[in-house]
Amino acid sequence: MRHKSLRVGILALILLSFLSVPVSAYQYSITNVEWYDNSEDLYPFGTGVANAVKNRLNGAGWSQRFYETDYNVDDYDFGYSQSGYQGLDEAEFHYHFGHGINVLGETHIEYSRFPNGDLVRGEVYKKWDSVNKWVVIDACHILANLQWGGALKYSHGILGFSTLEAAYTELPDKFLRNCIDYDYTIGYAWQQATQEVFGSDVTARVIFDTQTQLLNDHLSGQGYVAPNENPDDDVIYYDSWTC
Amino acid sequence: MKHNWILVGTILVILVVGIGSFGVITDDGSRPYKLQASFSKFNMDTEFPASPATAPVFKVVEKEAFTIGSERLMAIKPSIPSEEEAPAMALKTLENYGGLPKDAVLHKVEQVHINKYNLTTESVEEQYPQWTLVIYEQQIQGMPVIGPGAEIWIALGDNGELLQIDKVWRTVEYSKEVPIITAEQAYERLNKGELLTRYQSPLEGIEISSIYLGYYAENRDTDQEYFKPIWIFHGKDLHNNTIRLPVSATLN
Repeated sequence: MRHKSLRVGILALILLSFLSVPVSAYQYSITNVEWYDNSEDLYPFGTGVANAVKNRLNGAGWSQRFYETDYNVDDYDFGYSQSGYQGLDEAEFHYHFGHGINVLGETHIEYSRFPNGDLVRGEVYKKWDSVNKWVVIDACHILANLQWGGALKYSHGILGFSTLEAAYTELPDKFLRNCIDYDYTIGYAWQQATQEVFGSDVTARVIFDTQTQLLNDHLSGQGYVAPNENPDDDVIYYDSWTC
Repeated sequence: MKHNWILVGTILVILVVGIGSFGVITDDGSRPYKLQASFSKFNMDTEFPASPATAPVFKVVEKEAFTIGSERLMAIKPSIPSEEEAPAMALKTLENYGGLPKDAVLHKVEQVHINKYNLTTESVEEQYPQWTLVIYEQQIQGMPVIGPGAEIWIALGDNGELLQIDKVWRTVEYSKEVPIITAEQAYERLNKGELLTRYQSPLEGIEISSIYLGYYAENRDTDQEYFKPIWIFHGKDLHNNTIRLPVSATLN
């Protein structure tokens, strides 16, 4: 009888521990390239940006899928492979920080060894098709090339810039505050954050797979999320504004 | 002998094609390609201006920062004001928010749409109007204030309805004169990457079309006490975007 009571007590404790620990329903990932061989280093801004993303999302019950930095960042973290490790396509939300460059209209996400290491849109074409919903590319110029929208097979949106921009840790903090504390849509949260942080020499841009996603998507757990585009097509919706 | 000339010619053709393909990026973004590793950093398309020995510093005596708006900003509207009619509407709107500051100048007007874009044909198939944007910037004694903390941003919707107003404005008063560096010395700082902001791009191939004195306003969260003089390198990048690069003009 005493053993039975003990077993019931232990079972109750186990159940209670499951109830009291917040469940990490959603996951995020971060790539941060702030040290460069040939471009100006962005340290400590990248670390600050990554910490801001972690603080906001961990505080909202999200869990980190991966955090890769500098020389460890490569194409595979951006979902280059369609089997095995899927990189950013293994988590709902991805934040990238680093340099971007526009060369003859082709925009490159610079890795630490650039020009001997970068990501161009052709390498992820139609490859964001699993868990991922939104990707922030906090780097200059990248979304000047709208063909990055081709990566969005089932993923919903890319948030970034079509011009020069500068490094501010306030950007992810304000964006995620808008998403989590104010329950703004992803698109409006980016508009508000970029307008607050930058002046009028910066043009921010979002690219979404469907218009419904652009206008209605909320961060997972904060409101309505529109369905994936199905069947996938070659049409995207973009919005740009001077900050 | 004839065979020798054919051989030499073939080698030359191979060399020319090989060298020509070095540094070319295929236009679909796929590999392989080889990037040029070095670019000329800035192209100067202007003379250095005469540099005064001193320039004024202004003390910030008041900061006004507010945003009024809602998610309706993003919604598609039946129509939005034309770029010609929007500034007058913005001025009328501003009457409810203290009016236009005396040191404000109209900087930009633009219509914002959601664009339906076909990746295959690379064309915009439809546009859905959202807002018309009017931006005012600050000028002190004819010198522009750049940066994120000196702007009135007004978004107007159907029939000029105010959708959003965002104002960050510092009222300043003259403080003192300080010695400044020359524009040439500022250019040296620019080439060393000594800018007031850390850009997330290598800043290559920018064409500088003018150089002038101005001020830099920090973002709204910063408790900025003074506007100190800066040299502004104004130009365009390779993609025709206007760029204003801020370099401190003070000695230290």
